[in-house]
Amino acid sequence: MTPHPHRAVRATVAVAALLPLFTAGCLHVKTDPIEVKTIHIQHDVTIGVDKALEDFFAFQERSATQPTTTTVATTQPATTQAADTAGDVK
Amino acid sequence: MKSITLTLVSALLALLILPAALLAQETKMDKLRDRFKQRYPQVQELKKAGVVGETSDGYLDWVKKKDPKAADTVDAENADRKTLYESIAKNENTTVELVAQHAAKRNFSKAADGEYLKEDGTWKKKGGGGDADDDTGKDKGKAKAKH
Repeated sequence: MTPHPHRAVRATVAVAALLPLFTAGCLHVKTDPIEVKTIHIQHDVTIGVDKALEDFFAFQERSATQPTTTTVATTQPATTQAADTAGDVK
Repeated sequence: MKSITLTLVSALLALLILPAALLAQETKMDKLRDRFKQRYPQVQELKKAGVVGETSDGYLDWVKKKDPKAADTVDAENADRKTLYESIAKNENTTVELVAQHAAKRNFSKAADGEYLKEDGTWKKKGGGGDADDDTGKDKGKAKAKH
């Protein structure tokens, strides 16, 4: 007994249609995790380097804020002096 | 019995050596930080005066011409920066170049307006004000600081 010719054609068409889906699915699963891992490692290194630099140069932030307080102390008498001179001009 | 004694002695030695090594590393970094701290006001003055500027390589360079009076400070700063970048690269398991690039990015963002920054071989003043004089920047070889 020979198989029905339509059945054979239908089966071939179904396999041909599903085959690219299977292969595409396999390719996707293989490549995705590798890329994510690389980005993650790179990101960690970047954060580590930035943190190490920030920690090491923390004294720069402190010394940058220090002159502001001394400026306030020194400018106060100067302002009074300026007001005095302004009074003299009048 | 012998092997147990040997293991115990090794463990004891490791316990003694490891903190000592860590302490030595810490002291080395402390000394390096102290040198940066001491030099910081001078470097800031030189940057404000437009004598030196930050480069995209993470080092200082002469904006116009080398000032012999400041040469020692600039050379020492660049040498210490190299040591620091090497140390961070070792700890973070990365390259010295990558650390230097990150440091350059940080230096550029922290620079005050009016300070010179060198990118792609050209000096530019931060916050506008145009490029440095024509004889600078393009002529990289003559004014390049040692690092």
